[in-house]
Amino acid sequence: MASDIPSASLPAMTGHAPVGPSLFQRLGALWSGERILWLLLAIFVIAVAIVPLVYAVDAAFYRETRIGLSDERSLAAFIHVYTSSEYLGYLAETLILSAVVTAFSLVVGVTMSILVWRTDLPFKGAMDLLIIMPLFLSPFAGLIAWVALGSGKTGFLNVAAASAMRAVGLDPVSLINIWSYGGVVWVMFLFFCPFAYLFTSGSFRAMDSSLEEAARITGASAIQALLRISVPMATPAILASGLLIFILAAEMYTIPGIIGSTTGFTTLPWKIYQDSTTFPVHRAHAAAAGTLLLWVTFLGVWIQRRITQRSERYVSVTGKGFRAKPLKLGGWKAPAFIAIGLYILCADLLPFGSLLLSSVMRYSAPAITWDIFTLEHYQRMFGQQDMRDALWNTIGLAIGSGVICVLVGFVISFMELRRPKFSTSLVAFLGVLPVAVPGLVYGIGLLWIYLQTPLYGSVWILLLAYTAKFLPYGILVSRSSILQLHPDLEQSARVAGAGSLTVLRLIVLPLMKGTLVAILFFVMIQSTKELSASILLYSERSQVLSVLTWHYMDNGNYQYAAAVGLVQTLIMMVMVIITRLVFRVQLERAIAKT
Amino acid sequence: MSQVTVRNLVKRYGAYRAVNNVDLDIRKGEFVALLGPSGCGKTTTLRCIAGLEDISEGEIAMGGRVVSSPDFSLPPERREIGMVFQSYAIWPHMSVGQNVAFGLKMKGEAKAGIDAKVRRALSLVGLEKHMDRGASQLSGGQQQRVALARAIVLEPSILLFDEPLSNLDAKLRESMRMELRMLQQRLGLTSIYVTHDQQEAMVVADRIILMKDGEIDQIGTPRQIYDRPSSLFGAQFVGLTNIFDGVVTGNGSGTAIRLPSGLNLISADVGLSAGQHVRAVCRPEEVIVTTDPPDDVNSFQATVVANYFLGNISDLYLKFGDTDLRVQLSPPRDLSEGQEVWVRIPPDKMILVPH
Repeated sequence: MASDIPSASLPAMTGHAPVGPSLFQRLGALWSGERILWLLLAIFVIAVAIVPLVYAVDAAFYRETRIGLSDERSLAAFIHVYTSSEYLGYLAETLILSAVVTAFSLVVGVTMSILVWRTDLPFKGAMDLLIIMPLFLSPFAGLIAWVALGSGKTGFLNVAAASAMRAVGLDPVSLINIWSYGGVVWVMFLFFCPFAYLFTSGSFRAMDSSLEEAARITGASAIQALLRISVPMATPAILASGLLIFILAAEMYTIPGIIGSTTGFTTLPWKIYQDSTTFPVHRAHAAAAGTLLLWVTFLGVWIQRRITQRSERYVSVTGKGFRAKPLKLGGWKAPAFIAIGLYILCADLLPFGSLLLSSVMRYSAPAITWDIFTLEHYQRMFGQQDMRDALWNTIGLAIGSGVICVLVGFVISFMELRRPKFSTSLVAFLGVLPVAVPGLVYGIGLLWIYLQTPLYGSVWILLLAYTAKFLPYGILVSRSSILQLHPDLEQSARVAGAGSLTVLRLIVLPLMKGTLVAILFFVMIQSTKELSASILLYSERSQVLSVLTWHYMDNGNYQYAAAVGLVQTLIMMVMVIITRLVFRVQLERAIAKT
Repeated sequence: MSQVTVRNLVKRYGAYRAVNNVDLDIRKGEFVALLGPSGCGKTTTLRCIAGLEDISEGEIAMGGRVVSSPDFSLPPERREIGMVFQSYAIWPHMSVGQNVAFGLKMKGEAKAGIDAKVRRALSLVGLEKHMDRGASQLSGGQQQRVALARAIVLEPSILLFDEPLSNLDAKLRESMRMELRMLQQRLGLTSIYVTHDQQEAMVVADRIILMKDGEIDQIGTPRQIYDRPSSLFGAQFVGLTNIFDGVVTGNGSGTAIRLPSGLNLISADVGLSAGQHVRAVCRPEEVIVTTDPPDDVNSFQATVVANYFLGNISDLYLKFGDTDLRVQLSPPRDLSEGQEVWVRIPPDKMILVPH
């Protein structure tokens, strides 16, 4: 091959042969700061994200005792879970519930997305924020609120409806009953619907208008163009958000559990929770059922990723070009406005008002009079040591897991994209894996690893669980942000004399500030409301607010639950406000990139 | 002694060889252009020299020190080079002055010295008034100048350019390439310049290294590359060209060839043996067109197929037998479609390249 080159054009080497690098230089090149950092992170990811998962699966293959697992291996629990009609029935209940919740959420969420972004509806900015708001609130606090609103005789809405009926001379009947299958679907729908809205709003907002215009010119009406061109083009986003909702609904046990246990239906995650906490425990059954749930979530996430990747290949959402002309609603403007208003009322305003109201009531009462109001719940709450501990633990854990997920997630993504090698891709893949693992399963794994160690029952075990569960957000959101940075920006700094870590500090991090702030606060909010792993891992020494709401709710102490839920909600709202007003970062835009 | 020496450079991505056995010697103060179509390995070669890519085989040395070998790569920040990127890579969170000062700060220079150097570098590129501007408020041409100032402020021993002008509009590109050349001459910087634009390469470079499929096709001055292409690829890639298949029929002080149509032509090239298949290459502007038969070798009749008036030239499409011939006449002439003309190709303008 070299013989093709005319040798005459190469002047012979003159002078001395070049001097080779010294041993010191060779070592220096091998052990860059970047490489050492990456190695530490790889160990961290494996320890935090992968080992608990392995333990959670492993626990399915032991013989059970009444208080835990024996040392003896056994397939009994595994076979029972995978073949008995009991457990498969729970699985079926879970899938049906998830499907129903997903269907409602998609229909309403996509419709709202079209109405807000493709029509001439007013107040888009405010509506956008209010529709997304439930993402930053705790679904369990929402359940507490809706229990207060919609319980048979004492729910605020039922009370109000009854007095209205009495006023017009009708026999009062309960309008709604939250303690029902419909109640579960309703609360879950309210809190998952924003995902459908958020993930499809990008396509409707930024779609290349020339596609619709071409349809208009070939004779389609505005509505036809929207339904035949824009909606089908948003199909990948709709499917992807649907799968996300399905997975979240399938792994949730708190809302179906609290209500289902009184109304007679049981989902698989609720059974896992019971198997691992109710004496006599069935830990191997819980772990085996966890693997059953894992199939569902892994499959869902896998399909979702495939859809997203495929749709990215045919992007029409360029952000360039002209925005499509908004559709004129005409006479439909008022009904559309009211419909969205109703959603906002049910998902934001009523729950918040209801939490506030029940937290200052002495007890649940069918008639509201002035002497029922009291601030004693708050006084007693902040007087209690466990409540104060829970508050500080919650805040501390939020900050801790937020900071870790930002730093670790950023470095892992950076190494994956900028130093593409099998090893860096593998670490990134392992770090993202927990996105498909229910918090409950992590809880089981961590519990099983640390049962015999001093870590058990401390806040550190919660920190590990939160970090593992939310690290995928750190990795995925930084990834999409790094992809937008031209590598030349870093390489030119290297050429200008900056070392690899200096480039990170002076070039990459300042340019990604907004994204990193978004990840930090998003993870902090997620940690603040995390419940499914926390319930399994908490102890008297490591109370958090979400677990307190659970316990008050479980004991029927709704007023306390509401007061704690309100405090928790306020903390999350403050975080959202700080990101918006202080850092000028819209959290939802960053999440939509995952 | 060479400033940059590249020996048997190979860069593999999996089984694919992006750069295959490249040898280069670049002298101090020389301006060299790596020219070739996209995918020819020119940018990869440059990035290996910059230390942005590890190399698979071979060796790169700068100023007598090995900087890259398969098991060692001196990090880019320690190579004392300057580089201008295709995307300019102006850091958007810094002002113009901060962008230029960055490398000096990395070197740990004193504040006062930095300030003076930044000013001098910016005035060299005519941007001294824009020092405090945000980098993102600049036009493409201004960003280009900032990138240049940022590279030269470090007084690097080697300056690398990766298609620096390809994102500018045509007019600006033309003036910037002359400016670049003059600045390089004034500062005496050893420069390596990657481009796919042959005219750009010809304007800026002392020597052009023509690359194809990861290998060097030809090295020479712009004149040599244009006048004496050593391969069919070189003839086609640089400038317009006519190509005829032929067989060598005899040789002496020149070479006689016969085209498939039976036409016999003579080239001044030597060193080919009878019976060898060759390609005869000639530039459109070297063909002489007359209406009367010229009394000379390599003359034949052809028909005008089309004649386009382009202002400074006539772009003439001729046909003789089945063969097409493109001719560019300066000054332009009025020749009408279907007209029979006489064509002559001077033997020293007909280059023979191996088949």
